[in-house]
Amino acid sequence: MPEADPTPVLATRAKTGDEKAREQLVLRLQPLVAGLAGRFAGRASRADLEQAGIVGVLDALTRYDPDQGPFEPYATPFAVGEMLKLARSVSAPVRVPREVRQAARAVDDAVEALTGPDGRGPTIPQIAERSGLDEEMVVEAMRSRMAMRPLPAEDVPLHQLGASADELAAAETRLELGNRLERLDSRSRQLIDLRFGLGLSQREIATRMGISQMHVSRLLRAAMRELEAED
Amino acid sequence: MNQGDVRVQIPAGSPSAPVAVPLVLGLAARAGLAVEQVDEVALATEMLLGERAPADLLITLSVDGGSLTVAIHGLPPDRVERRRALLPELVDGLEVDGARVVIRAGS
Repeated sequence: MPEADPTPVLATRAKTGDEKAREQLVLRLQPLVAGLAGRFAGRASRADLEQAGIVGVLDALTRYDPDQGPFEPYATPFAVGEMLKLARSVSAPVRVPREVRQAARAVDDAVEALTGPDGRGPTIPQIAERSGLDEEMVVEAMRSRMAMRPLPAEDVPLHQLGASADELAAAETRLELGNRLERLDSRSRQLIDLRFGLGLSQREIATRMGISQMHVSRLLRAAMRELEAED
Repeated sequence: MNQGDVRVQIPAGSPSAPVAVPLVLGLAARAGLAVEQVDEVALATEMLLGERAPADLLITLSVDGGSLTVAIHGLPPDRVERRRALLPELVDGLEVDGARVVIRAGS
């Protein structure tokens, strides 16, 4: 007969201040938290991510009602939420004021709306006119976007990028970057190959990946920083 | 140096890209470059300068019609060499002459 899940009982005891139950619960959920931390690998230190996950688990504990079912599935979104918060704080090392963040979104929208069918993007005065921002704020918004590091997007299959593995390998050879590319994750490496090896524009890559040009710009910048990290 | 050019001296070890990139963005706006060109000339500048200046640098930025030119004097040649394969994709013009590198965006 399978062993009954002890987490609801442990959680109930922990809620009432039973320290031992709390420790056991955290210990029991450690593998779950470690697995979740793997989703954010490279965006913050593993130890910090796991610590953030535990904070999420403890937060979940204060709100948990055993009638809601097993504790693990209940606690998972809390743990992920804390890890995401940590990853975002690391992603934006410079605190960006709310008005600049809003301006950055307006700039993104204007760029998407104004990009012509030929792929040519708007100028800064055009973005300013469309978004209702002054040019100085458009520049500030662009600068703030450049300072942010993007969270990883879902991996895009190679076939969706419109380039075969052979083409990408040939592109890498042309780039003559040697083993510097090996320090990149596969998606960053593909981006470098597409932009610099095959000469696709950010707009062309964006169309293939189904994301915005501004998003490609941020991913590319992050990849370049990673590539240059040890220089 | 023409009227309207911007000239910045950055001592070795001081913040470099964080100082130069806002100037690049502002002058790229004046040159009327498209957003992707603005983004990529800023990226090229970041790649060349790094967060902190690798040596004493003199940077001159100038707008001429629809183009922006960024001339950087004092970069160690090996730093430029390591980036030489990538830079031509980001800018419309690249000239390397000893310790002087000139990048240009726009026509």
